[in-house]
Amino acid sequence: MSRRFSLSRRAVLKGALGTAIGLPLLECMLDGNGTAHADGTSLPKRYFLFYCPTSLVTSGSRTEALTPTAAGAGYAITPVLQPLADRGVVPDVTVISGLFVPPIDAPGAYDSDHHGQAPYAVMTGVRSGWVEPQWRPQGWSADQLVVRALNPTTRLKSLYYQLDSQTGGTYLSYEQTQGFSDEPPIVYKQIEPQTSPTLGYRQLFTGFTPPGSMVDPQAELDLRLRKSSLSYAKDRLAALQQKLGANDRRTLDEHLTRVRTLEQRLLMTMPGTVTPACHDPMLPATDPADVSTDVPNQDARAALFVDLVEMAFACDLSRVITLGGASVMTGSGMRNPLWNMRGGLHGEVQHSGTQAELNAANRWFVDVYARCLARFKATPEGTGNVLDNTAALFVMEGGKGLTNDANRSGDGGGDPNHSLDHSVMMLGGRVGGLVPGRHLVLTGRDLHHGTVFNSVYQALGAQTQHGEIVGTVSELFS
Amino acid sequence: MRSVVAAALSLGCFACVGTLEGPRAEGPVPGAPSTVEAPTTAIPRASRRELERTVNSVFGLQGAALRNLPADAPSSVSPVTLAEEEVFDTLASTKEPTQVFVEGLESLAFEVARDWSANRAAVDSLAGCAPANGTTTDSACLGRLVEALAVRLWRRPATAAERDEVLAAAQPFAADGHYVSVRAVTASMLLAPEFVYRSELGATVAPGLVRLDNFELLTRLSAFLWGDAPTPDMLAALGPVELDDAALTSLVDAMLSDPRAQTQMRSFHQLWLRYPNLLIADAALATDMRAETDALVSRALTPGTSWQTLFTATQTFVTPALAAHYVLPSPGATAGWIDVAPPRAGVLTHGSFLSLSSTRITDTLPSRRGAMIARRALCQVVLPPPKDVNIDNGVPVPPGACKAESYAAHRARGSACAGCHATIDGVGFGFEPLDGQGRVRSSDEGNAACTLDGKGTAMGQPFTGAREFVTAQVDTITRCAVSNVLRFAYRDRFVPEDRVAQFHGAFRASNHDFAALMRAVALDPRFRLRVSDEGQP
Repeated sequence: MSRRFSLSRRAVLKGALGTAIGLPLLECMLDGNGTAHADGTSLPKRYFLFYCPTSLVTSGSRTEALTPTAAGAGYAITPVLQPLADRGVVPDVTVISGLFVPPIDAPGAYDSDHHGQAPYAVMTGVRSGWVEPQWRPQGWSADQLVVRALNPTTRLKSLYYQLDSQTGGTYLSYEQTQGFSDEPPIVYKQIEPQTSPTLGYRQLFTGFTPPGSMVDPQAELDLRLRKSSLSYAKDRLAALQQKLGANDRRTLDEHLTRVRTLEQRLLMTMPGTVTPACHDPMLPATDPADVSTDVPNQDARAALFVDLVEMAFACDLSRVITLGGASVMTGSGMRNPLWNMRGGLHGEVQHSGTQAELNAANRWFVDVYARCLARFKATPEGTGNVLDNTAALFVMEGGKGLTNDANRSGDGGGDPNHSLDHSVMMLGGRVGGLVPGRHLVLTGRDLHHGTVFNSVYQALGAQTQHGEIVGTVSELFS
Repeated sequence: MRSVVAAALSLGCFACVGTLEGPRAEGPVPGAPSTVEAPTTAIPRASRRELERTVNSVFGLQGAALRNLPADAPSSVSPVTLAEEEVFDTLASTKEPTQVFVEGLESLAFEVARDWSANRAAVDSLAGCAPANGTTTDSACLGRLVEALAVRLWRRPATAAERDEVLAAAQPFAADGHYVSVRAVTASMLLAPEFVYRSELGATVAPGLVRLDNFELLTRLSAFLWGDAPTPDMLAALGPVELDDAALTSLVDAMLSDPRAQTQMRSFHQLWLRYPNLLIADAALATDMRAETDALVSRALTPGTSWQTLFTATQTFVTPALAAHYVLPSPGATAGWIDVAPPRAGVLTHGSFLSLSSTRITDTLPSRRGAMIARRALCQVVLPPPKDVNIDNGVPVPPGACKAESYAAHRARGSACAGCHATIDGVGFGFEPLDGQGRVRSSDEGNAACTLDGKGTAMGQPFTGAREFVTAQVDTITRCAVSNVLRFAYRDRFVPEDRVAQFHGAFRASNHDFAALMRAVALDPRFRLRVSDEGQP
């Protein structure tokens, strides 16, 4: 099914001759410790975020099945976290509980609309909802902060996938418009996720030549054709712009920018650093059934996205990846037989379903996260594996408000699932000195999710800060 | 101009609902009955559905656009209400060229060019020539192909300079053979903005007003009436002189007699009522329900049949399984039409439609359903709830209590929600005798002591049951449909009130012949015009 990498003598020769196609990272190319290249440059550092679009509890429940009871290492695996054990990644993940994002005007807080604004506050660390228009992020998202700080030289600066095929609502990745300056007026726009694994595959692997192999003449011709047509499109867009009014010119300007981004990617050569596991995953030509059908095959869709995420890292096509479960407020929602095909993950499961149904949903999302981590772990790199060089976050949309204090229980006058009190994140990987494998309880310290993001930035060597949030969680490194 | 609409709506905040038929200032426009409106784009982008039809028509390839392009936004935040509202896939303001879209378009162009160029007979047929020397690139023949593709993909003839530019872009592939060059020109022309963006530049006839040229008008017409590009024959028949009324009428009638018009009219109803997105977990039942509503839409579009039957029908099309689900008489061994009794009447009582407001498998949230019907069938703008209100659970109903009493108590408390509930609950409770899967019931789910009488109010009028609602409101529903047809046609969110009134009257006069409504909109002199902001900084 897949084209596995094998290193031929010819390939080694080609590599030695400096061909544009990258080569797998061999031990002989590393320093004595196997933790950096022989020339002293470090191995790639990677950022991965999985977004679980649910809370810990339903509207009618305050009892959840995700957060471990005991702190420290060796905690008892809970039913929802069981996939971590099933996939063999418990020692590679730290569970962080007791986080808090306030629904009041404060650094990194959200206004009273939980689903619309809380994800903005979490993902940017900038208070959301006090500046018009409210339904818009007010800062860079974490993935884009990493991109800006590290400026990776990969073919794709960042990737953003979403398991649920429904678009709209609140996304997880935001970029600044208006010329990308920090001068007002600053407007942040949501970046649209790729919801089709097939299209995601084409983006990554059309024209892909397995590292070290002969250049396929057909692939070479395909690439020439693509470059040529994009170049022509640029000229046409520029010509048409001259005839338009201001608003339409802006539209075509954005279109032109996107074309240039794509063109630049095609002009880039294959990365110089690839793991031996890099291969074309050969995804099918059509997507598995999504929610536009009567019986969506969410498992099959997720499996393909896991393949893509794995290979994007293994082939060093990107070092910054966000995999969202669903955008929030997606209306009819993300049906899945696992949660009784209820029409809306949001409306039906979180608000009207049973805690058992929500637990089933959360467990499924944890499993997708665990599958990604297991793949990273199984991908050798240097003397370790890709997970060793990755910070892999698991972020949830909501926690469990445990009080009727409006400043802790979220909107809706105490609906516990509309709260970011007692929130849980997970952080996998060992990049930059992260020490995983524990349950870290932060209850009572009112630490914002942004402190975990700041810790990730520190681990990645990214000189940036999560919006208004200062400080890190030092225990993640010790 | 939007602010006028906003102001009108803001006045309606206290009453929960407003209307999006916004008042717009009227002013003189030379050459046509005039309405001064907000500027609209000169480059409306085709929807994924429209691009799929065009790729299929031109290249005979199915699914390419659906596979490669992201779905059009089913909803967007209204600049007036700041709430997420359902929109047509044609709405121009939702068509931002995101990275996902642009990359999907490139993938579409690559795939179509590759697959179509492999069908040499089809290529030669469209070009009207074959390469003179086997597969060696024949630039003259390639030029003819570019001209033929321009008419089909750009919906107008290419100028000589444009043809030469395409050929120049393909020149580096000349040595690779004729059909590789075909790939190059096809991909380039699909990636050109002229393919995905319709040109409505027109010619300025008054400050801020342009009149579409013949090609632009024909393209607008075919997008509205077919959801597809015009045929080459129609384009070829156009001359430089502006189409007169007789020629335009002839064109529109020819389009309406084409099967594509029927497909488009069905698409409109699917996009408006959203019933294909029904929330029914049982796949077989969902298929039957979709077929039930499809059949009624087709019946309502049948010439000589009043379109209002879509809402007033006392017959429905069911399979034996669906009849059993509804507890109705079986149509026999196969699907067929059967009579139905009140409260059933038309599409609003179909399981497909009723399921759309569900947040639970069977039980209903009357406010949610009432808001859905108010929005979709009555064209009321239900303003968003206060931000500290979680609407997903509905009004809490204590164990043993009746839903109606709990909602009444909630309204009586006189909170900020009361005004809105008074409006939408009235509609929702009138439909309570129908559950979330279209089955008739006589009491609250799980509480037989709470009988359902179907008493409700809509637009200030009391009614009992869905059939009475439809009977009383069918004219409002019809006006709402007209309003939506105009939004669909003009790819805009707002439509002038006077225009809705005009076409509502014409629709009534035609005995509610839906094709006649489409025809009237298409032939309206204002359909040739566009308000522009060109020249503004």
